[in-house]
Amino acid sequence: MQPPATLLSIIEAAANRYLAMDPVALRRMAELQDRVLEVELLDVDMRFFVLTDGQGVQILGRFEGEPDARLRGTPLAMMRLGLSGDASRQLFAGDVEISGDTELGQRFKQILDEIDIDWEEQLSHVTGDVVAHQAGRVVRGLAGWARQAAGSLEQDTGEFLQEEARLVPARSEVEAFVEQVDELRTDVDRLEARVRRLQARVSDNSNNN
Amino acid sequence: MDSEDPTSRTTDFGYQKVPLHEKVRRVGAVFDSVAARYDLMNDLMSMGIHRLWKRYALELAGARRGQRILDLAGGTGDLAARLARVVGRRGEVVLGDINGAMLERGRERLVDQGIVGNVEFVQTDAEALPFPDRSFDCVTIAFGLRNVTDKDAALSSMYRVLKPGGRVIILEFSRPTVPGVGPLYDLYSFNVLPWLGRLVVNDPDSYRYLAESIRVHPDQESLKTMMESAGFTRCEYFNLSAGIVAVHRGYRV
Repeated sequence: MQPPATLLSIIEAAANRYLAMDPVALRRMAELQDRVLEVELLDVDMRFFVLTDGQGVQILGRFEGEPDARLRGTPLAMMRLGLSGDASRQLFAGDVEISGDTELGQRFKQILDEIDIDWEEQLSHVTGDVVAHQAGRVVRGLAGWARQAAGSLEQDTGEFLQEEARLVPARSEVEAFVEQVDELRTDVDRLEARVRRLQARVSDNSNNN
Repeated sequence: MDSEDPTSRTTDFGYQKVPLHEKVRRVGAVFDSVAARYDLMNDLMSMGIHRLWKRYALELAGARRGQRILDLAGGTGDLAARLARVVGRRGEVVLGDINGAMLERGRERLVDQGIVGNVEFVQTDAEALPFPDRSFDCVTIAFGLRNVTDKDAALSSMYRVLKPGGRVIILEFSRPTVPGVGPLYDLYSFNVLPWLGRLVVNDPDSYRYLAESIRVHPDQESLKTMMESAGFTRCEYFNLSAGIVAVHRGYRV
């Protein structure tokens, strides 16, 4: 099912406005050179197409011909893909399937991740340079304090939950566990490959006899 | 439907009857007048919805990288711009319009958007296209067919320049299909629009013409039949906004 035209139109306009605020992002999008990415949202049964070009993106509900790459996942998984810094973990875990030109998918995501908007510059269009700069200083100051405060709160809460109440595993424990799972997965893959090789050899031998 | 009176060779110009050759000149004058504010008027008239209608036409056109597409009555180029972006560097869009002022506006707008290199601008009459046979993957005409004097000639011409397997996309005002919409629509077209026309571009007559031309344009089924007569197959239409607008699509086998 294709999402309603109004929705796509709004998303497209927003995406392009967002991209336009970071000229580097726009240029990088253009470098993708006229590609088509199909996005399929499971559960809600919706599909749309993202077309890249020198002017930004076009988002259409219908496209004939083969897309260059396909992303497939639940809306939730897609959002996590967007938020997380490391896409490969999501993709490897199978939450979001990527097929076709996987490099395209990665580059696309990277562009979105690395969008760096100079908010002060954007504001200055509306308020003028001096006010924008002042506002910028205030916001940066607040952000710094907020980050510190959040950090210490997080740390306090986290520590409490881990050490005192032992309700939540420590980050290092989780990371160690995930690493072990990854290692196990790779081992399994290697084993599978080996078994297949042996099977091939066995059937070869039986054919020759 | 255009009606020709064989004795005095007149045709419809909105609700007026005018001599055949006059129609082209009069339509030209209308568009010379509205060219500068065309987009603004479209936005006001359709409350911005015309963009969504064109988006629908774009999707039905099935444009792909590398294709060659003719956009007729392309005017200020918004559909052509999108088509150009889809067909990419290896493709080409030819923007054709009979009106020089509109064509110039189109060229300016596209250049402003940075869409250059794969768009050609040609002043042409849809009834007698100057392109070789079988040279386009797709021909689109958005809100232009109702202004064409001899629609059958235009449809045949479009058929001729299409490659086998190619398609035509006609986006145009049509007959509302939902009961009750008609009278409201009439009120809107004949009272609100000319008033807006006077307010925005100081030319209510041009907008009255536009409203009237919509009324005498063939309805959904009639246009489909005309397309079939011109040789198109698998013709179908899609009603938008309760039939106020329709997209007709046909293929050349």
